[in-house]
Amino acid sequence: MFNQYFQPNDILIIYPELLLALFAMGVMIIDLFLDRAWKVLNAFTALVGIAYAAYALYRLKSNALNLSGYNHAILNDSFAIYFQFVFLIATALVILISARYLSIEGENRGDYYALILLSLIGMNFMVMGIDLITLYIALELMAVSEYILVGYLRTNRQSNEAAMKFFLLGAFSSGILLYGISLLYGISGSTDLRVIAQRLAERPSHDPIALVAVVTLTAGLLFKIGGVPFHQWLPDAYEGAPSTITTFISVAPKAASFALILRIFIVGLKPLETSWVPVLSVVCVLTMTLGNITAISQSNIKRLLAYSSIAHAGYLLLGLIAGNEYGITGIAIYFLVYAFMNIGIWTLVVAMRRKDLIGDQIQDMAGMIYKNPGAAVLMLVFLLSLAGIPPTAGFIGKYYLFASVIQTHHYVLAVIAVLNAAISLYYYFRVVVVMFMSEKTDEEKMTLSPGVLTSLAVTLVFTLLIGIYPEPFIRFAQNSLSLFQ
Amino acid sequence: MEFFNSYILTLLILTPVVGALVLALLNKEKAETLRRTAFGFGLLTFVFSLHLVARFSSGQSGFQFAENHAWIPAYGIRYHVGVDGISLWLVILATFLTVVSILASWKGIEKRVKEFFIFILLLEAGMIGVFLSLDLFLFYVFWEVMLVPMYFLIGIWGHGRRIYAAVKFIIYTAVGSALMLVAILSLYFLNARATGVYTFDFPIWLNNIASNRLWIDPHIQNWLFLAFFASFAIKVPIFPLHTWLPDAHTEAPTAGSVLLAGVLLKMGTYGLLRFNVQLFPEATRTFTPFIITLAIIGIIYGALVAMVQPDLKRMVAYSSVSHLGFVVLGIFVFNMQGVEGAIYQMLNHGISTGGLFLIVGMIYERRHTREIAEFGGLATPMPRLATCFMIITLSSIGLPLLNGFVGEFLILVGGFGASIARAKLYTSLAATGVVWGAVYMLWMYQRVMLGEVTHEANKSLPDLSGREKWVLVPLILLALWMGIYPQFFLRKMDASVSRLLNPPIVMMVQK
Amino acid sequence: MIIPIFTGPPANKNLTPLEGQTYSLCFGHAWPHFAFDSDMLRSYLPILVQLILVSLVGFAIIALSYLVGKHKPTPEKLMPYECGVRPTGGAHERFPVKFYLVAMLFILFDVEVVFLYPWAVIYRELLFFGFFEMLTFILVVLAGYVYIWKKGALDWNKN
Repeated sequence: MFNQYFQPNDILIIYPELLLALFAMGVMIIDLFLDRAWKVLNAFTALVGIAYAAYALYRLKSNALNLSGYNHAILNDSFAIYFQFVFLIATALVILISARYLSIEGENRGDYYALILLSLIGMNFMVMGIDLITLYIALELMAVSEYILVGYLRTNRQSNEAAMKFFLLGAFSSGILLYGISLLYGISGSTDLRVIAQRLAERPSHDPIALVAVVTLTAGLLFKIGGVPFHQWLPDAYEGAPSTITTFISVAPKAASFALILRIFIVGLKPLETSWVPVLSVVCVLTMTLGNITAISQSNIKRLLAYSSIAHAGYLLLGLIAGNEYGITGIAIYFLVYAFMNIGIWTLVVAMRRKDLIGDQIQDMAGMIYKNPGAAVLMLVFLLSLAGIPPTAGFIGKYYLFASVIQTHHYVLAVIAVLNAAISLYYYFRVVVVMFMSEKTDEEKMTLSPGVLTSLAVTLVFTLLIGIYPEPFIRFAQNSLSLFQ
Repeated sequence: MEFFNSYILTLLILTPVVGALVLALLNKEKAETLRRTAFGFGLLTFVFSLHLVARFSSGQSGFQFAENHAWIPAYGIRYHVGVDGISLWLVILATFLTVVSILASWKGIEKRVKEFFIFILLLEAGMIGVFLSLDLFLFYVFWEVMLVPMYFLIGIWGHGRRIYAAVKFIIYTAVGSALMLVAILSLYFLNARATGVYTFDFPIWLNNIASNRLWIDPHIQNWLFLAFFASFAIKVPIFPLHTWLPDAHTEAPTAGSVLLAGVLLKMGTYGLLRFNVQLFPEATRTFTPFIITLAIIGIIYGALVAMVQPDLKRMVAYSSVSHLGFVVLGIFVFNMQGVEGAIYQMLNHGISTGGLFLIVGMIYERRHTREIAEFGGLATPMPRLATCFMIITLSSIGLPLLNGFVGEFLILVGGFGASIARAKLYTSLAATGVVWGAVYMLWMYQRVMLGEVTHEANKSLPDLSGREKWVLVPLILLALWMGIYPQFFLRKMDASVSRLLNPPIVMMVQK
Repeated sequence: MIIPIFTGPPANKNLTPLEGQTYSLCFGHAWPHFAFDSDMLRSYLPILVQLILVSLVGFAIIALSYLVGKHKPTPEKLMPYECGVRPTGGAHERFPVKFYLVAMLFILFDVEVVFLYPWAVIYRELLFFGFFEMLTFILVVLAGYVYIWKKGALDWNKN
């Protein structure tokens, strides 16, 4: 029954994704037969699917299979598997906090979880693909699911507006990206990144068409991670989207887009390194600085975190610019850390959403230490981690990224980056000031659902654990070094 | 006992952390229990630190009680702590002043008692960690960790513009330490490139530098020196980077001011002595005239500005700028007297300025103002406080037989004997600082304590309470002891300081 | 004006679209030379033939029905038909949004079914794998169908 298009191995390589697809459809169908009171089962179904996929992925990792399949369009190496674990963790945490939030918003339906799972499948293929067409289709699967999820609150104008902006700009950037891909195909005659790298190496280094391809690819990809000057959509989308979806898109798709960037730049465009490193250096400096400086003046916590996530994208670019082992490990560990700390802080933002309070102004947190001391302390830990203060996980992440550029002698970049980290303390601590040093304005206490509590416990434990004993996590992140092979 | 000797340093760092955790579990309504628990853990840490003094062997120049365990072996990051003659007394200073400041906050802190003591104990752990770390990565971790509790101490329990002061403090320090991180990482890679070993271990780096295995280009050395210097100079603070200090000191609660002035500022001078001077010998030579000039400007500027302050606490804060100028001068004259004087002066400043802040805090608790003009003749209602205040003022000025004299004298002797250009001119200028110090301190004392009681409200102020006596008397006894018999303290520094000044070609590294 | 950008070796068998051709960035002369390659034209010939045939058939049907059929015009019959909507009046008329839904669903399922054609053409080459692959695909489409059915998207009278 097998032929040249299909090998028995192939189905094993994408087994986790097959499971996820099955569960995505399952959630969608099961939901149709559920009463309103039983909608929470949807979240369970999705979680079971993720657990199952994680187990399949674990088996895949331990089996010594030839992990290249589908006519070399897919390469499920340890780099890909590492990032897939990060996505699975992030998605599971987001699903945990979604049920309560959706029922408050009155939009508790199964297709929400189906879309999240579909987006997860897209992301998994984004890290597995080594062929530009596969990568592009995976990217679109992820993006289209996100567009719908951002506008999931149908009766909320902000949510609709955010979805429309996100969709129009996203489609536009995908077009630019596709143009870059077509140029690469044009000059190399292949969509396989490894072949592209060979062909590019044979060409003169200052080949104008190759430069145009690099510029268009960079522009398209920078949009996805919110790099300056393609960041304008990000604060609006983050603010308007349902908070749980913001939690999701601020972590997992960002990690996926970054993994995609790594694959394209480190594998495919390595021969053109001399032309993209300066471009990215400028982008990196602008992204860090603009993100941090704009965050200072925000009064809405969602927007503040949105700008902070722009700044974090800037730090992450450092690892790509360095392009060495430190840099890649740095990006890998940073996303693991970022998944925990960012989901942790967004979980608290989600938890602040109550029946009559949107809870997205920084002022809404006034005197939180009196009302919810536990939540305030958690928030402090996550903020310190985002700011990169030891002994939290954020410090380990930042340490790697800064170290990577110092190793490659980009001292000016390193200094700008550390100064930015110092600036970021200012606005993170502004939130701390409101929580710990102002008087409370209302009496209402937060009620934390079991899902939110679980998510908070997991994120807190790992934020501290990675900070204090990072060794096993570093070993885990070093899996991503298979990128260089 | 065996266990004690091998893990004493870890115990020192962990005891306050455990204390903080225990406090976190206690009921926040029971203020008295919280205070007692905090005091208990503070005292326990202090007792442990005394064990260090008892078992410290004076003749040895290397690091003692060292512990060296792998922490992140993937990148050669180790948990390496140790104590030598330079850090020994600073650790004691930290543990001692923590006990004092816990006692001093017994009455002054009424709101959120639980958090207050948690932060004090965490701060203590951070301070001890900074003085003990021998792995630069670990050092940086403690250096940053310490910021957060201090930020909260100023921001929550401070006065007036407390949030402004707290944020200013943290931004200044974070900028400095960010630059230091770049320098640490650069050294890490330079060392790895030269020797092939990835490590942050300070003794190994020193060893490589001394044996010329790690040779750093002077040009690069200058930049690295400046990066470290930025971090430490902000902390000291060296003029013109001192502008955060008056705000932070003035707005902080008494305990915060005591620990800030008493211990945190010393981390700057300790860092200069430990890291800048030892890691970058060539660059140190290049920058010495520049730093000495800044130190002298600091001495004179701090004294002059202190003189015109209408606010008691601000005056003490500016006097710190002046005193720390002396310490920096002592470090950069590079001889036994100078460096030992500098270390001694660090301890003195911790005791005398700590004492001054405590007394200002006590007066503030009674009158709720710190304006010098509001006082006058306080000695009449409060004779005991006046006596203590007098002794501590004199110790700060540097009266013979009190501790301040020994430090300043050693520094000035060291300065006159220094083998640097225009040493005599520099030292003469610095010596005027002693005079200025006497002028503003005594003038302040006169305006606050002596003469007729001018304000009605001051007439019925209560004198020292029993607890307050317990706070001040140990400080005064120490001031006397250090002034009369300095040899006890200096003896333990000798070996380490002389090794620092004349580094052996290759040191033995304990693995 | 012609700006030569690449002048690779001519007549290379494995030419990629942009390689080995002299072409310009200027619109007047924008075509690479291979556009006039006779081999290429020949391969498109069947398409041209089909295009002509399709047009002819289309015209023929209209012409035949005009010539052969009976004509009994009434005002209703002469009115242009547009989905039951009155053809005159303002263009900004409101009409049920359900039309969009039906149109979208139609396009979705229509496009999905189009996949069956290429599949059928190479069915023999794909072997059993092709069979299961298409079975999976149909199941996925079926899931979507069940979804819209249960959601009531096919029920015209449902609000």
